[in-house]
Amino acid sequence: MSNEKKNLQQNPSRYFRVLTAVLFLADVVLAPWLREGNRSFSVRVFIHGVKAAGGIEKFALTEAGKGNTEGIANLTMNYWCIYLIIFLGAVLLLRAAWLLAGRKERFLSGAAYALGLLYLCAFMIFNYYGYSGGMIVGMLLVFLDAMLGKYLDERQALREAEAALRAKEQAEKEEKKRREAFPGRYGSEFYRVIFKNFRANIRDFLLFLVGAVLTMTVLLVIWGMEQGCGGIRLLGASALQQQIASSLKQLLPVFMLLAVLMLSLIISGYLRTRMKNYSMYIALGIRNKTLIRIIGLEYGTCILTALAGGILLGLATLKIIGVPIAGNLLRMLPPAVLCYLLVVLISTLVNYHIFEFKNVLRYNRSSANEPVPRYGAGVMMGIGLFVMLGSLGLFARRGSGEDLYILGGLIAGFGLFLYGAATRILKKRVDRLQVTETGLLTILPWRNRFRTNVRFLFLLTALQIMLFGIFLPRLAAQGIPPEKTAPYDYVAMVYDSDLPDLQGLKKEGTLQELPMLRATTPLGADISRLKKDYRTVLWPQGQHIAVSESSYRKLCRQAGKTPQKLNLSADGHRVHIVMQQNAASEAHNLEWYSGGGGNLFRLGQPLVAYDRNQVTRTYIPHDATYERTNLVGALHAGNQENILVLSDSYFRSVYSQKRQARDPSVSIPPSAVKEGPDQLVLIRVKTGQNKAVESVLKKIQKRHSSDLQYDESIRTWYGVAKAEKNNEAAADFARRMEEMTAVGLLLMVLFTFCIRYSLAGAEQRKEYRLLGTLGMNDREQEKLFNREARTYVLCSMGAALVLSAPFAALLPFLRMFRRSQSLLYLRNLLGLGGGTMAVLLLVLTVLTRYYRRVNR
Amino acid sequence: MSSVMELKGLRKRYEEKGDWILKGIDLRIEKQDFIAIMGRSGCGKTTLLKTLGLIESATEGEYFFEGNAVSGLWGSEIADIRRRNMGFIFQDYNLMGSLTVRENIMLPALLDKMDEQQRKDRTEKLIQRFGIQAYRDKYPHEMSGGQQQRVALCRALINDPDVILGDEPTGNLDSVMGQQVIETLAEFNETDGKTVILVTHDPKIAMYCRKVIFMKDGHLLDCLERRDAEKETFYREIAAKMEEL
Repeated sequence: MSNEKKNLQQNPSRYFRVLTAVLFLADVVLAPWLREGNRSFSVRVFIHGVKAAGGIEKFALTEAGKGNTEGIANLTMNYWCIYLIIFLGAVLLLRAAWLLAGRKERFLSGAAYALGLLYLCAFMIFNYYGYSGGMIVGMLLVFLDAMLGKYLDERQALREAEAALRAKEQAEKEEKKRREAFPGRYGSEFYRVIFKNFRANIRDFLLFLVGAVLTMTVLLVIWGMEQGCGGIRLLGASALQQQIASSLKQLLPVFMLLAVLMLSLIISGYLRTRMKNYSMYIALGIRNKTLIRIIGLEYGTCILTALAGGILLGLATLKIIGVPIAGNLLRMLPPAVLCYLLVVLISTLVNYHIFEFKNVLRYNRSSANEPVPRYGAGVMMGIGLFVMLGSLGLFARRGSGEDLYILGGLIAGFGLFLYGAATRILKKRVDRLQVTETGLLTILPWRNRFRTNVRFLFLLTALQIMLFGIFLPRLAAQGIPPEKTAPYDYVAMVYDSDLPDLQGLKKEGTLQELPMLRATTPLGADISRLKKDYRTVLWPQGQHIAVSESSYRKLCRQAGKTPQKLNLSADGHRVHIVMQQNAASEAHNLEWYSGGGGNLFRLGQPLVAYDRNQVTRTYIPHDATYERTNLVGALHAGNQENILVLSDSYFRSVYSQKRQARDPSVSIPPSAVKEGPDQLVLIRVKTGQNKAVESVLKKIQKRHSSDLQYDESIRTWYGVAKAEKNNEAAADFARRMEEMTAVGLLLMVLFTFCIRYSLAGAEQRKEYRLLGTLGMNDREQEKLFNREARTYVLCSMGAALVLSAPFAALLPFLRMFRRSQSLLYLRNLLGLGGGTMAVLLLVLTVLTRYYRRVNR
Repeated sequence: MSSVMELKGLRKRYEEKGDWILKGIDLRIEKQDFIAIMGRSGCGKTTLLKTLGLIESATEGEYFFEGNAVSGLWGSEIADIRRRNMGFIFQDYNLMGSLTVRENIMLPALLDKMDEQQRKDRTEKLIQRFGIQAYRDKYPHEMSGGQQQRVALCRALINDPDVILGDEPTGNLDSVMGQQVIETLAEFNETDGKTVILVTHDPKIAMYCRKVIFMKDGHLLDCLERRDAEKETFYREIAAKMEEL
């Protein structure tokens, strides 16, 4: 049986149409079709009646009456139209038989619908008798036959099409399976041989392994230290913890960027070597899937081995440093592993998709050249220069906070600039070059391996920019001795109602009360929201101390400092900010929400919430002059408890207001009666009376514990000696971190140099062998090698020094050094910088000699 | 005789807007042919050989391998053909330095998931046939060029391919070794019924072949057939043709 016939038989519309035919016939024969008054009669009865009357003419005369010509005519037409129905029934019957025989019935269906429509039209014109239920049913059946039948036909067609498509897909699947079938399994001998080849090329992987292990180690150390300090979110953190977290937070992305650069350099070299083997497998007929599996296994083995090695080394390092591991492991390990995998992934993608565009699954016997780009040099130089200058400008803004992210912009800009500049220079040199010039040999590595060499030079320079531009200057600043300590033993920020308790301390020492107001920055919002929604509050900043100009002068004199001549405005817009930090601390903004330069603050309590889209309405921007000194105590190394000096008139005008009531236009915590403490109390204690003083201060603190719930970094009081000890520890930690980072950067510079010459080893050996064959003597070869190495070292160092100089020069400005401090800083910087350069040059010279021997 | 390979209007270039290396090649290679492709450097003979060997794909035109259009084959099928039906011999041997002679020879068999016993038997048979028993467990760098090329030959033959392709297989060998290699290939052609296609620039090698195809600037110029001629006569014809080029 053909498919078509089979499909017809399976079509439900067939049975439906047979059913409608049967029902229609039954309706015509049995049901009352016409009506006259109360009489209803079927078709059969009508025809029988006409026959009995002796024909339609006589029947019509009798029924309609003589003279009723219209009635007679209608009745006659009614009668003849009945035969249309009979004919329709016959057609439907024939169609049913046709369908049952498995034939198509389109014509018959069409004829039936036409007959039905014709009858209906005729009945509407010639209707002596009215219609009865049977006729309605009959017409409905014809209508349903048409509509529903068509629907069933189309549904069947869709189903058939779907089945055909599925069958086709299935056939394609099976065809694919058959054609791709590769029965059998790879035996152990196969894996042994592949592994043997892998192992024999372990030197190619060694650099990758070392680089990846170091990356994982450093990431784990960073995350370990960060978790060991209680997390980045510094809730109630000490200055030391803040310092650690701040340093680590900035170090992490910078390190990750450098790790990506380093690993991508290594991976490109490793790929180039392995592709020779992969090409051989392809020529021998390996399947792509198998090759992908081999590459995946090799690469995956390296990544996982490095991961394991890095974890072990990282944990060991954390143990040595003294960071608690147990209890923090689950918090430090997953993010470190994720960062590591991200770095590896980006490095791999950089090679495959951005720089290499190589399909490792295609036969590739020879390593393609990396030609000098043809276009875009000028554009890249322009954009690079713009980004560099922009970064410098951002860094130079007071309020940038020495943000390391800005440095990232500088490095990125330099990368673009270098790419464009190298293209320009090479093009010019190549154009000028004569074939006989020896300069050709110097140019060749750049002409044939442009991208790799530029990347290497860029990485070398980027590391030195960080070293000479950021970490050595910071170390140099660490050598500046801290400010004289404030001449107080305790500093407290209390309410008027606490003063009676403090009066009792007058016998334990001297007390000085100065009116003050609490000032908060946009991020000093209600801490309780932080616990529910981290997006509300990011970095609680505690409080700053707002005092009048007169109080400021008093504080300066007491601290043995000369007060500055201030030009404060009566409306409070122009203020003076005393950053209470040492020269060794990073420059801090008052707040960083608006980028730091806006000096946004509000006199009063931290808020529960505020509209972040209209922050400047609540936290008013101010113009400010600045000073860096220690008046009451560098209690948070410049992060908070800085002194805001307002004009006397303005201070007086807001002081009484803030002491009495809360500002109804903002939402401060319900438990806050008013807008913060009223008095800055400075206490000098007689020897041995500290316990008594502290007990009173603790009592006061407990009384105002609700104040602390807004922000755990707000303090009611400080023991200055203890706070300064904490700051010393923080400074000490910062110094050690910076020393470690500087040493780490130094090592990375040397490591990058080693990577370059290790990866290029095979190629260089081939080249020098050829040069020797062509008659170049050893001396000339050495000179050539040295020239190339010198180019890298001096160009990178020179560029780094030029780009670092502005950053190093800006530091005294950002940190507001005094003249003597600037001179000391300069002396330290020259010493450190000179020493580092000397070490670098010395070690690089030794390495050059080594590789000159090995790579020739 | 049925054709093993057929090229129709084959064109090839490496870069999208680069120069055409092959500029419309029509070529029919019958079963058990012994063909040399000759021409000056840069005429496209190695590219043609690599295209025939399915290492490179054609840019335009059609290539039929045993009657099947290569363009209609999937990557895995092409890899299967390369592995089972073809054996490639390179000018610089291209043995894996990290593997021994035995491992190098059986590498294609390992890739083909050949049964262990069968693989061992075939490897041993080839080693015996080419007289390199003493070097079974040696590494390529411990052997001379001629020995390495014999290992490469064994590797090319381990899967018993129908077609052997050689890209200047005697190029790095001295005349004695070169002659040995070409005689071995001729033997494979006559005795084992293999189709052999070589690229060479040396008429002394080409004279062993039954057909020599000349190429110039990416086109096929001419074809000489040895028929019943003596090798020496054929050599002179080839040399004369090369002079013309």
